Amino acid sequence: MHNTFVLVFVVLIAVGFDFTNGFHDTANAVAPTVATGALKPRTAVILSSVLNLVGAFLSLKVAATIASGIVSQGDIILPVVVGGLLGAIVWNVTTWYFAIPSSSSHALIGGVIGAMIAHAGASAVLWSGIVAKVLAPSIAAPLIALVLAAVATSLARRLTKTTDVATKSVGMRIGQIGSTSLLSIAHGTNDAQKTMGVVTLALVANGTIAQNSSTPSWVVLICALAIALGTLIGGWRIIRTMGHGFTKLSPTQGFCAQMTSSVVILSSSHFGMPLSTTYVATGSILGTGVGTRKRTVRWSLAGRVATAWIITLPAAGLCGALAFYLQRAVGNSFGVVVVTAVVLAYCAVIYRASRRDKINAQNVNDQWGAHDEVLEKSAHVNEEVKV
Amino acid sequence: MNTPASPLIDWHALAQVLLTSVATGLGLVVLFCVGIYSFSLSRRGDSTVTLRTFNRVAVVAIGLVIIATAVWGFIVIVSK
Repeated sequence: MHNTFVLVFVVLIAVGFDFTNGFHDTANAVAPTVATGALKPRTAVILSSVLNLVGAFLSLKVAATIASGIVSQGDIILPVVVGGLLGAIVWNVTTWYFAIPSSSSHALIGGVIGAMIAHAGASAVLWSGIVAKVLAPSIAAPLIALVLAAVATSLARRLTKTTDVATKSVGMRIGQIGSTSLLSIAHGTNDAQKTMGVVTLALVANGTIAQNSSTPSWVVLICALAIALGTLIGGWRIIRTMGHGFTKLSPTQGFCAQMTSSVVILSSSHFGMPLSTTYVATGSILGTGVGTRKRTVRWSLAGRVATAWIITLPAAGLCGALAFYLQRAVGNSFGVVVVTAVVLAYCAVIYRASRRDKINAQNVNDQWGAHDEVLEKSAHVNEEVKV
Repeated sequence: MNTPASPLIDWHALAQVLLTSVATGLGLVVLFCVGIYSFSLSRRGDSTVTLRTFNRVAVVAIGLVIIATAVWGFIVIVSK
């Protein structure tokens, strides 16, 4: 009875994580499409959410669970899974508030590591696995994407120099719609699978289903719906950063960024070295900026984002460890309820704070500089009122 | 005899990702741009009928190659 209660919470929290994963990662697939006007913002997000849903159903093989090769499998207990998921949710929501694209997978890995250290000590963490699965891909993904997108943009610019502007613009926008679709399907396949793996792990740990049994259909359905719903609600804040913050995207740049992102993500999945979708998409957008004649990239923003990537693992780990300690301090079943309530309250506070500087389909394409000026002006006005 | 320790980073897989991404990514972008250029030429009124036909055939051929690559990508996703 006690375990079933905890299990229900694990499933709900996992679905909650999937939801934040959806709205956090929408930007990866649709930001350039929205920024260049290839599709209307709402249309782009609906297309992406439908294809995320399709992607989640396409491959029903549960991939190796997220913790595989990262922590000692024998030490995993349900409160560690709860701590890991809640730590990842807290980090996802925090970075979303600051409009920083960060990897949901790395947040989940960080959360699980933190909860595991709190439960069984640092010896239960497989540090070599972290270098291989987190650190190396974190460096390789944006670099590969950046260089490839820079060369692709430079080539595209030269090849279409004498093409009439109208044909080029329409052609590149059509190409963007195709590459957005491919990227959304790939995202649904990868990220919904990850949560399906976590829920299946919890069901096996609880003895609800036998080891090596396939994922129940209801798990597939709720995970697919959660990620699609998260995508539909759309992380407008992060779409804005990705689409307008790093560089001003032209249709040619948008096409090159999305095409190179799709190719890098698909080939990395194919060769068994999955790279973070967020890091690849960010690298590609920076690369298209580098590939233009003026090389206009806001490196200060890129630096801020890179800093957030560096602290993702320890920050999510700290949140995961705190969630685990709080569960243990309060007591097993009730502890899960209390820690979930604390995280929900935090999410509500962040959501409320985000309403002050609301970004949605209507203002997502506002000029980046103008937006900053408005913020600065409002800050000055506030200061004058105080004086 | 000691067996060599497995490397921490799978350099072979990383090299494969790099090569495939460069070949496919740049190949597709170049093909797509040539397709747009050919399409633009095929609509010009001042070019000969032969040139326009050649450009239209090029646009169709390039379109088919790109669709075939997208289908391959789709199969990669599904068969993963």
